[in-house]
Amino acid sequence: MSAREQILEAITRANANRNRTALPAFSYTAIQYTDLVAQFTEVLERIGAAVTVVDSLPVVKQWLQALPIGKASVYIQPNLMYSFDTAYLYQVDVAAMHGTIAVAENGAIWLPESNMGNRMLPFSTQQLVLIIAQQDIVHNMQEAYQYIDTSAQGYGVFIAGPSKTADIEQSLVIGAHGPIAMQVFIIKQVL
Amino acid sequence: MSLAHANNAAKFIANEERTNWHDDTLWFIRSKRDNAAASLPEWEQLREIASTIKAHTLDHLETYLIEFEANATKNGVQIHWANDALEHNAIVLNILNATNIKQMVKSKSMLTEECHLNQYLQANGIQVVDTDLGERIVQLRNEIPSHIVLPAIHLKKQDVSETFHQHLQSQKDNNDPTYLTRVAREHLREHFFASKVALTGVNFAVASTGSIVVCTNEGNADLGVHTADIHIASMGIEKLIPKPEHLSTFLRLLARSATGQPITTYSSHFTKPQAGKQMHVIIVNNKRTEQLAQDDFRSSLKCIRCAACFNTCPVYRRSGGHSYHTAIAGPIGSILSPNIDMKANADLPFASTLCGSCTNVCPVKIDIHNQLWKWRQRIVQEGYDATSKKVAMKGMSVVLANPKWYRLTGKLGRWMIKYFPSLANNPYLNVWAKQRNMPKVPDASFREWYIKNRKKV
Repeated sequence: MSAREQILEAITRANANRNRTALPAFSYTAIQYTDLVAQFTEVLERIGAAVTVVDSLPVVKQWLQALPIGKASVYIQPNLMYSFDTAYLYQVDVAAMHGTIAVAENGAIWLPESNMGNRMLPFSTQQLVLIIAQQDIVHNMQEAYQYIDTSAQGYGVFIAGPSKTADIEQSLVIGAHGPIAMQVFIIKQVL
Repeated sequence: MSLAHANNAAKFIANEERTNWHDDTLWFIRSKRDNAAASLPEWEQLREIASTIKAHTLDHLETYLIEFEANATKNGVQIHWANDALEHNAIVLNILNATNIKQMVKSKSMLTEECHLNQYLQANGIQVVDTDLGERIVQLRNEIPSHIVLPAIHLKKQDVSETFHQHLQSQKDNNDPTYLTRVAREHLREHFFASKVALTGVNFAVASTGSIVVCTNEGNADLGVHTADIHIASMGIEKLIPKPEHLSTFLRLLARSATGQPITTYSSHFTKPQAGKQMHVIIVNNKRTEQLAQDDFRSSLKCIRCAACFNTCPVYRRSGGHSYHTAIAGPIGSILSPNIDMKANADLPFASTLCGSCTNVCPVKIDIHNQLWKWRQRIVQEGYDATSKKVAMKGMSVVLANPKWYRLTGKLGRWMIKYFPSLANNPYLNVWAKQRNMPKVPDASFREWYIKNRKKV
C-alpha cells in the first residue's frame, strides 16, 4: 500500500463514526476604523515603514527620479511582463510597484505576481516602494480576502513593512534578508 | 521514565542571571501578545471560529487532503506523501539526486526538525544551510532551536558574536545586533544566489485552491524559493484549511499570538511554480493519524505553531527549550511528543504546573493543560513514570488517607523547618529547596488555630 493510501485510510478510520463539526459562520463584525488612512499609516510607521500621501502617480515617479545618483531604481508597470537577469535583481537599490489592496488593521499590502516584475524583486531590493490608491484601503483582513483572488496567479504576497528580525537577544533589527527600508505612497487621486 | 527535563533544567537555571533574562524576555513577549489581542474587540470570537474551522477540517481531513492534492496537481505542483520521517527525508533526497544538486537552503520548518532532515541529508553528502537568522545561529553552533518562533532565545548577543566570529569571520567582540544581522545577511545572500533548491515549511495549505501559505518576517523563505529552480515545501497533514477566506481568521491570530505583531512582514501565497521551475509539496503523517484517532489528544492537531503557550508557561520560561529534548518544546510539544515516543518523552507532561495559562492564550483553543494531565495518567498506566515519583505517590496516598498521619507529618515538617532550617534548605536533602528558599512556617496548623479560636467568635 502506498504512503498516500496508508495515510488516507488511517484518517478515514480515525474519523469513522464521528459527529462531524460544521464550518462556522462569521457571526461578528470585524473591526472598523473611522479614519482608514490614519490607522493604516499609524500601523505601518510602527512596524518600520515610511508613509507619504501624494496627489497622483507622477509625484511618485518624480520622487524616484530625484533619488541620489548611483542608486539603481526600477518602477514596475502593473500587468507588464519583465525579464530580468538574476544578477541584476541583486543590484537594484529601490524597486517601486503597485499593491492592489491595503489593510488598515495591520498595514499589510497585497502584491500580486503580475505587479512585481519578478517574484524575487520585492525581496532582493534594498528598499521597497509600494504604491496604493487611497480607495483601495480596507478596514480588516476579512474584508481584504473578499477583494483578492489568491490563486488567480501563481504567486502573491501580503507585505507589511521592511524585513525584520529579533533573533539576536530580542533586539529588533530592521532589514534582515529582504529590504532594509520600505516606503509606502498613498495616492489620493482616484485611479 | 527519565528525569531528563528536570536534569536539563537544573543545568539551565545554574546561571541565575540568564534564567531571569530568559524568563523576563518571554514574559515581555507574552504581554505584547496581550496588547495585540486587546486591539481587536472580536478577539475571542476569532479564537472560537479558528478552533471550529480546524475541528471541521480535521473531521473531514481525508476529503480536504484529496481536494488539495487535485487542485495543487492542476496548478503544476508535484505532490508527495510520506507516512513517516524517513519516507519524508528520502523524498527530499530523491528530488535532489534527480538533479544532482548538492546544496540546499532551508527556511524555518519545525517538521524538518521533527524528521531530523538536516542530519539525514548531510549524511548523504548534501549541504543544508538554514536561512532564518535564529536557525542559522543554532545550526552553526551545532544545536537545535530552543523555541519554535525564536530559535536562539537561549543565547545572548555575546554568544552570537563569538559564533559569527568563529564561522563567518565577523569582528571579534562586536556584539551589536544590527552589525551581526548584516553579517548574516551578506553571508546568506551568497547562499541564496548559489542554491538551486529551497525548502520551506507550510503555515497553511488551502484545499479549494491547492495553494500553500508561508509566514515570515525576514524574507528568507521568499528569497530562497524565488532564486532557486526547485521549491520543496514540507507540511504535516494537519496544515489544511478549506478555503482562502479562512486565511483571514488565522493570519489575524497567528502573529498577534506569536510576537504581538499585527501580522508577519510576509504572508506568501504560493500557487504555481514559475515557468520552467519545479514546486513539490510533501504531505507528512509521522504518527499524526494516531493522535487523530484519540479523542483525548485529537485537538492538539489544531496547533498553528504560534508558541504563545511557550511564552506564557512558567516552566518553559524558567527551564529553557533545550530541557525538553524534542524538536517542539513547551506545553504544546509536551502533548505532541509523547504521541511520537511515549517512553522517551514520558517526563514532558510532568514539566508543567497545570496552571492552565497555555490553554487561555491558545489562539485555536486547545485545552493544553487538560491534555498534559491526561498524558500523565496514560504514562502512569503504562508504567513509564519515574520510580521516585511512584514511591512518593504511594507514600503521599498513605499520609493523605489517614488524618492522624497527616497531622503528625505536618507537625514534623513545621518543626523541622523551624528548628533545623539549614537541613530543610539543604538542596541535597530536600529537592524543594533547589533554587528556592523554604517559607517561614506558622506556629500552628489551620486545624489547631481553628480549634483554639472557634470559641472566641
